[in-house]
Amino acid sequence: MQPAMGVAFFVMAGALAAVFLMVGLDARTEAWDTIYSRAGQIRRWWFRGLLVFAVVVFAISMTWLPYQAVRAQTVPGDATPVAVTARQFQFDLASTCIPAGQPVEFQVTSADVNHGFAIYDDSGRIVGQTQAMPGYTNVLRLRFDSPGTYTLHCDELCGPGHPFMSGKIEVGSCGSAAGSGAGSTACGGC
Amino acid sequence: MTASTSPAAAARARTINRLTLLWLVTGLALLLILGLAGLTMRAIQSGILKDLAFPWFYPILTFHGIGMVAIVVLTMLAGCWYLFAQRLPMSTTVWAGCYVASVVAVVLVIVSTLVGHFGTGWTFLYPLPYQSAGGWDTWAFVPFLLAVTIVVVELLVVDLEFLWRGIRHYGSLGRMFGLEYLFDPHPKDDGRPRTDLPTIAMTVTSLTWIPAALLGAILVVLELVQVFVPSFSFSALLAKNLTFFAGHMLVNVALYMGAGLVYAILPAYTKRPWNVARYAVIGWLATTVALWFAFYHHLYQDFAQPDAVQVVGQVFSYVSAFPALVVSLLGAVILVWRSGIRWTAAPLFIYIGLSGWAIGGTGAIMDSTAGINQYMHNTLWVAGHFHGIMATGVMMFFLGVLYHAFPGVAGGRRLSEAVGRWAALLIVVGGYTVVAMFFLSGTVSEPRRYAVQLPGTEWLALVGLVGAVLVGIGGLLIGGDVLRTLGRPAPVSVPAESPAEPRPAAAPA
Repeated sequence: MQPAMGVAFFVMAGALAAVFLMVGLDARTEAWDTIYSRAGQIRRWWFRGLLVFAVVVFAISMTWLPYQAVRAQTVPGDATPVAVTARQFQFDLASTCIPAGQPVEFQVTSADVNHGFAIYDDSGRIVGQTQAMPGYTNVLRLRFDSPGTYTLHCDELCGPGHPFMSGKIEVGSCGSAAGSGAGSTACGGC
Repeated sequence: MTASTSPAAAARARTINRLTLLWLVTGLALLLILGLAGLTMRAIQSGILKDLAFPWFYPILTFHGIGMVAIVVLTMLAGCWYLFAQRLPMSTTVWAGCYVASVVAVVLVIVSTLVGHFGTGWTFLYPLPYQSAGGWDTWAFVPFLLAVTIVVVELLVVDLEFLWRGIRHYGSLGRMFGLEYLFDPHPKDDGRPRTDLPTIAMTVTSLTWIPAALLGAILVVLELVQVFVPSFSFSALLAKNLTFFAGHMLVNVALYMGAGLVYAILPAYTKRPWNVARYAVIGWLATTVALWFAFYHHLYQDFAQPDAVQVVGQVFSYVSAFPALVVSLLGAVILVWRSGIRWTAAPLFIYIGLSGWAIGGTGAIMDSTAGINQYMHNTLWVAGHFHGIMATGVMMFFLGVLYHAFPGVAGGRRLSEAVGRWAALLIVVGGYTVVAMFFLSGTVSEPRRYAVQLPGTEWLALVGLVGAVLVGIGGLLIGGDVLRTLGRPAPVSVPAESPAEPRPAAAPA
């Protein structure tokens, strides 16, 4: 997702910059009446184009929602629950071994302040995240298709130790270890 | 100021000019200081000043964040006050009081952050202020809260005064909003003043800020109760909703006041009118409604919020983008297109600001899509979009206002156009470098507000630092020119009329 979004942004930003630059450097002069009559047409087409674009993107983006109702459809199957408690400045997971290729539900809360629970793959990109908020439990449903080590980072400012608040999970064939609730569990066969 | 005919009017004009000059110079000085704080943070993140990271990064972050938010709000408010004081009897005493209160707020923020090491970031997300893990003592939160309250109340007071005087001047709130244009594109002259686009923008600002200030006040009261009664606590989710309802509104009203100033200033240089039209009134009405609900996009990753609320947040985030894209940005580009505009510093900075608004806004709209936010939330992508909108957007409007209003408020003294253009070049190159590095950092999932960057990404902070240095040099050039110009005697003949109020021109049929 991130590289595609980065390319999309820089293409759109470049196009906008080009329009501003071309209009700003266009030294020709034209009567306002002429420009004004053309402006109405430009505005109508600009509005219609934006509207169609926004509606299409909105409709598609509803399938990307990270919430339970949508993820139950896009990540079907029985999920392994993993309780996560964030606290300054660590993550306590019921299990750090996550089964590959199966749905998993991280049940994330906080014991003190707001934290972020962001999961990074081995290329260093976020594959999913939710907030850890005291008094609430946020359920993040994901499926990890690639085995390996994933890194956890807090991405909500939580105090002076914020940049050091991290952790690891291992994705592999964990059998019934996941969700045992007996503290951090080493991953077998990851 | 319009040429005065009575001693009282002349005295009022002098007071308005002096107050405006004071706000402009103070705003520029604070902008440079707060910019230096931002530059220091990038130097820490790049590793150059890594020894400063602890304990200084988070207090500096908070100082920079709350300071910049206050500066964008207050400088845009100052510009609008100058504009409207020329047509409405806005109280100079109230405005002078606001200046004094702002100075007090600056002192309070310095005490809180740089003395008390308060380091929650400008959003002071509950309950972090009370659980600092040794970073600061709870007392440091009190001056911070008082400073925030001062800015909130200042904006509320001026907004209420504007609405009160505006209703008396224009006849009704509906006329200030231009609602008659919904039914008749060319309303007949009824002997009462008609609204204009700056008035509509300021009316929307005022109407949307009143509920935000009230809800923000509830949060401040709850927080203060917990400061003095530590056993008291309240819902973190409620606090976050209140924080972002008021906080999102605060930065947006700064942008909309900026739009009002663009409406007022740009036509003076393109020599073309920017009149009220039906689509513009509809756009601003849509903005007024959308602002109430768009803030939910700040809570997309709080899955405890109802899903329907999250979808509503995305709908209204998209809706709020339309007026900006269709009315203000397209309108400005068309106004400039083949107008034969002479690119003096004032319109140049305004135009640069418009491009920053458009480009930063694009990143913002993308991130307001919940499915994209899942990957970009709280990464430096967020810093990219708000630095795009605020630093290369609204702050450029401020510099445009500075160059535009300076001769009128500084006794006819003019800032150097050459310095202005060189500064603009440095600020554009540097500013967009800063913004681009934030966006790039977001695409590699660098979390925001990290005193120590993830391994391998420090170079992005280093390139951003180079950009920040260029912006700083540009800002110092302008600051030096302001001081040099104010040190010179005023020319004998003072312009009788400030260009702040472009002469009305008839709309084409």
